[in-house]
Amino acid sequence: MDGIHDTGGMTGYGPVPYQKDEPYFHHEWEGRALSILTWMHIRGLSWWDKSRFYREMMGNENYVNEIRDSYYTHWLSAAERILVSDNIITEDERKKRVQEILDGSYVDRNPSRQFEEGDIDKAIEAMHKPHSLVLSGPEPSFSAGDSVTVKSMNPLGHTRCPKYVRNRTGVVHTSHGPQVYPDSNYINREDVPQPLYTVAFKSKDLWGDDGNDKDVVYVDLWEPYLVGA
Amino acid sequence: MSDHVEKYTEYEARTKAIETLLYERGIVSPAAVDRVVSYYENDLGPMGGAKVVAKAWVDPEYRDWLEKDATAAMASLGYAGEQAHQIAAVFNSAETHNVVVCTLCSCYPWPVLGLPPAWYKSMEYRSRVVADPRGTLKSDFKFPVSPDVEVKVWDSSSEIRYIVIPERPEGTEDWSEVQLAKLVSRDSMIGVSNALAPNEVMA
Repeated sequence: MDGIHDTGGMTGYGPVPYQKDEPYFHHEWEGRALSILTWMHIRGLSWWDKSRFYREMMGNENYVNEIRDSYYTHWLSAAERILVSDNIITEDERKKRVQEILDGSYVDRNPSRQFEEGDIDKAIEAMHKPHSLVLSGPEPSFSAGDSVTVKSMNPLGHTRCPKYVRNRTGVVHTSHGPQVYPDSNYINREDVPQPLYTVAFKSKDLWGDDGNDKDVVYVDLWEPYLVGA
Repeated sequence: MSDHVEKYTEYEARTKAIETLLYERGIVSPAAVDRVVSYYENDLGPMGGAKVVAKAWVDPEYRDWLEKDATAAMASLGYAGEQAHQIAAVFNSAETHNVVVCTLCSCYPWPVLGLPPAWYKSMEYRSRVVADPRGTLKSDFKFPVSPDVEVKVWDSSSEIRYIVIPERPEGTEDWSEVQLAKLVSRDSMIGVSNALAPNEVMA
C-alpha cells in the first residue's frame, strides 16, 4: 500500500533524532510486544510480510504520531489487529482486558499451558539457524548489467516497491534468484516466489537537479516491478 | 499478593492485555515471552559485527570470503539466523562510502548488530538518507563526506540485509583482532560514521 510508511524522499520531518547510546528497550512493554510478535511468527500465526502489512495498515496519522512515542507501537498495533482479524481473540475481550488492567481489576492468573523449557530452547535455537532465501521459481529475465525501468503502480495491498523508484531506470547490480514475493506472500504463503534483483539508481536519475552526479542508491526489487529498459 | 494497585500506561496495558489473552489461548507462557525478550537483549548485539570487521581487517582470506559470501563467512563465527539469512557486506574505501537504511520500515541485520536504534527507524532518517545522504550525514551525524568520495546508499527493501565494513583506522598496524574490534562502532557498521580512531577507543 502507498501509505506514510513509504518514506523515501519525503521532506518535512526535521533532523534525525540521533542518540549515541540507548537501551534496546526504553520500556519493558516494548520488549514484551516484540517478543509476542516473535512468538506469533514462531507459531505460524504471522510472518514477516503479513506483519509488515498490518503495521502499514495502522493508519497514516497513527503511524507518524505514535512513532514519536516508540517504534514498538507499530508492532503492538499489528499484533492486536492480527490476533483479532484471525479470530484468536475478539476485539471486545481485548478492550475489556485493557480496561480491567487500567482500572486495576485484572488479577494475574496461571497461564493455560506452561511450555517445556526444551520447547522454548528449540525456538531460540531456530532463531539462530540460517536458511537460504533462494527458492524454486521462474527463471530470472534480467542479469547484472541490464537496464530496467520500474513500473507505475498504486497497490492497496502490501508491496516492497518504494514510490521513489517507480518510473525510474536503473541497472541490475545483482540477480539473486527467486525469493518469497511480499506482494502476494503477505496473504498467501503458497504463492510463487519471484526473481529478486538489487538495482542501482543514480542519484541524478532519482532526484534530478536535487541529486548529484556521484551517488548511487541500491534497492532490492522483484521482477514483477520491472520491465526491460 | 499485595493490594498495591499498579498504574499502567495505555501501551503497557495494551501489551499486557494481548499477552495475558495469549496465555489463556495457550499460545505463549510468561517464561516463553521472557526468554525471547532475553534473546533480544543478550544474544544479539554489535559486538558480533565488530568481530567480523576486525577479522576482515587482519585476515585477507576472510575479507575475501566476506565479500563473496558474507552469510557463510559470518555464520562461521556464529552470527547467523533471523534477519541475516542472506546478508551482504559492503566495503568502504578511499573512493566509496556506504550507508544502510530501510525506508519502508526498520530492517536491520540483527545477528551482527542487535536491534536497531530508534533514530534508524525514524521518519527523519528513513526519508532523507536516500535523497540526501551527504547532507544528512553532515548535519545530523557530524560526518561530512568528501566530494571525491562516492556515496552508496543500500535500501533494505527485501530480506537481504546489509552491513558496512568501515576502513581500518590509521596507526593500528600491530593491533590484535580483539583490540581492533574495540574501534568498530555500531554506527560505523550502519555507515553514519567511520570506525573510531585509536585515541577514541571505547573502554
